[in-house]
Amino acid sequence: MATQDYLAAVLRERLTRAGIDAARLESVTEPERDCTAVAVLRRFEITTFAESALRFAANVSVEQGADWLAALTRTAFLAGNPANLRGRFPPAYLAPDESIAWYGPAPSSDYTGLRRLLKAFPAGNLQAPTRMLIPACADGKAGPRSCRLRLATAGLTTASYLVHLNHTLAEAVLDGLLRADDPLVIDHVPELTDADLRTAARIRVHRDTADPACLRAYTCLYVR
Amino acid sequence: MTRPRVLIAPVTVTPTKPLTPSHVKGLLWVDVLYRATALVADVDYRYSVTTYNVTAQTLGFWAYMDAERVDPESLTEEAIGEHYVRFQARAEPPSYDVLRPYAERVEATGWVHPASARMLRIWAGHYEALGLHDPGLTAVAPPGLGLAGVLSLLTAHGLCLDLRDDGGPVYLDATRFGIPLRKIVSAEGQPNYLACTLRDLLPLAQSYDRVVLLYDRELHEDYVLLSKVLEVVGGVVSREVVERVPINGTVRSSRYGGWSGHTVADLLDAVRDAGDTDAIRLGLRLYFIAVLGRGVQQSFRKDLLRQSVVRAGRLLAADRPCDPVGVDRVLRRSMGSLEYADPYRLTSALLGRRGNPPVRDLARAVFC
Repeated sequence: MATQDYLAAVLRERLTRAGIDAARLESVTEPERDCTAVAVLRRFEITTFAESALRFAANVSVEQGADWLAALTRTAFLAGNPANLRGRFPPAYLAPDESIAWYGPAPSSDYTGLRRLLKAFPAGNLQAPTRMLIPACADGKAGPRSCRLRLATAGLTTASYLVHLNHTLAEAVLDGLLRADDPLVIDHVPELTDADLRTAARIRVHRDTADPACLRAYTCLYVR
Repeated sequence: MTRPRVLIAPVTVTPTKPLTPSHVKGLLWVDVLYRATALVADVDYRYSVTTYNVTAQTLGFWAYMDAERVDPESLTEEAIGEHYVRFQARAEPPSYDVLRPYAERVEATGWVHPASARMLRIWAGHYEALGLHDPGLTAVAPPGLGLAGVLSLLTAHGLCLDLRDDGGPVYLDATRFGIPLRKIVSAEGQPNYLACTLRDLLPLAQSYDRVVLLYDRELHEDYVLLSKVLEVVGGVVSREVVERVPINGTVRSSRYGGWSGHTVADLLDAVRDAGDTDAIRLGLRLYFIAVLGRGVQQSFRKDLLRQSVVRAGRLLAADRPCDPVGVDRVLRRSMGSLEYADPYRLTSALLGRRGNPPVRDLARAVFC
């Protein structure tokens, strides 16, 4: 079992990549940079969500990406029907089936009108299949690499699952570790093991939902 | 000339507490609207207690009465209301698991709990005393659509965001009109009053030339949303806001009580010696409609209520010839360009000195 010190070191690496003073570990949940993305979802569907998260992150400009990374890819997940919103609030990226729309990243005040119309996406019971394949989503052409993600699902709701998956994918894309045309396999496991952590190219660590005083590894990303 | 078809659909008062001056104002307003409009249009007055008996506040009250083993048969209106206040004061609302068997019984047979059945019988007596048309207080009148039918229709029009598979509620989604999402079914599957209203009115809206919704200010946002939804399915909708009546400067929900000295029986006691039955009925309408108006500016005053009854007696006693043309003239003037009467304009016309209003003819047709 990974020690809390090890997990804290992984978390500090993340802060450093984001340009945040790693000594300020306590402020990890509240980055100073006001830059937020908004995902509006009509339903919880992992494949469509992962595809759209990758495409959205790949489409943000270099400047936006840097700001968003510095804000630890903060994202709000709202319930809504993108088809009903695009007239008043044209999204930055709309999933092909129109079930998910992405906005920003931008200062949170840019979303006042959108937030007024919508509600937070519900925290339902998570029922994720053991393995999911996220096909390459750049014009159907698979990239040269094979990517695998292991995600610890014990204790997660649908809402918290979205948070961890989105941060992992967005930050990997913004860092250049992952491309939107890379096919991705997602394996859902109750907990990540030390073996999972040892070979991962990227580990996502955050406060443990079961014990907020502790850190927990939620995702491991592998790129070959 | 073809008579227009008009549907009048006021907010239904749930039979769990005594009728207060605010309720009386609303009921008199709707009654004048209905009876006056019926002179020039084919009018239906939709007031289904059955539809709203599946809301949490009614079912929760029924479950509370059963849990407390209260026998309502001998209770007065106020005594039932006091139980309702105690129910509302409880910290935790009952779970839908507790309420579901009651809801299923209402849906299956139109069943009414003895507490509300008792209240409705008392109200029927009030309606009689006030000269109100009874739109079917004790009738079983289920809504035309089930909840599944409503959600299916809303989905077909892009107006439904159903998150039940994701552990969330069902929202009425009029965001394309700039109106925020509004929950209509809880994550547990319990519909709220707005879902009930949709079950009632969605299947009716297209069958009329005009749907007139009446409500108080607290429901304004929901009724703006409701009217937009009814328009999307083809209805032509008017919204009429009739404000509540402050008591000593304060407007309070009945869930907190505060009706002591202001029940229908108290109002009638206060004017019993001020005029005969017709004068009392007309006087009540003069006070609650013409004197108080739509707004919320004036607190309730029994002395002005009595004065209105005395004045009604004088108006009715004045010897004026039968004038059907005058009735039509005053009525049409109140309607403006719409298909329905304006109760305020119509009632106020009786108090005007100009035009020599045909009081007795109008009273017979509309006010008494």
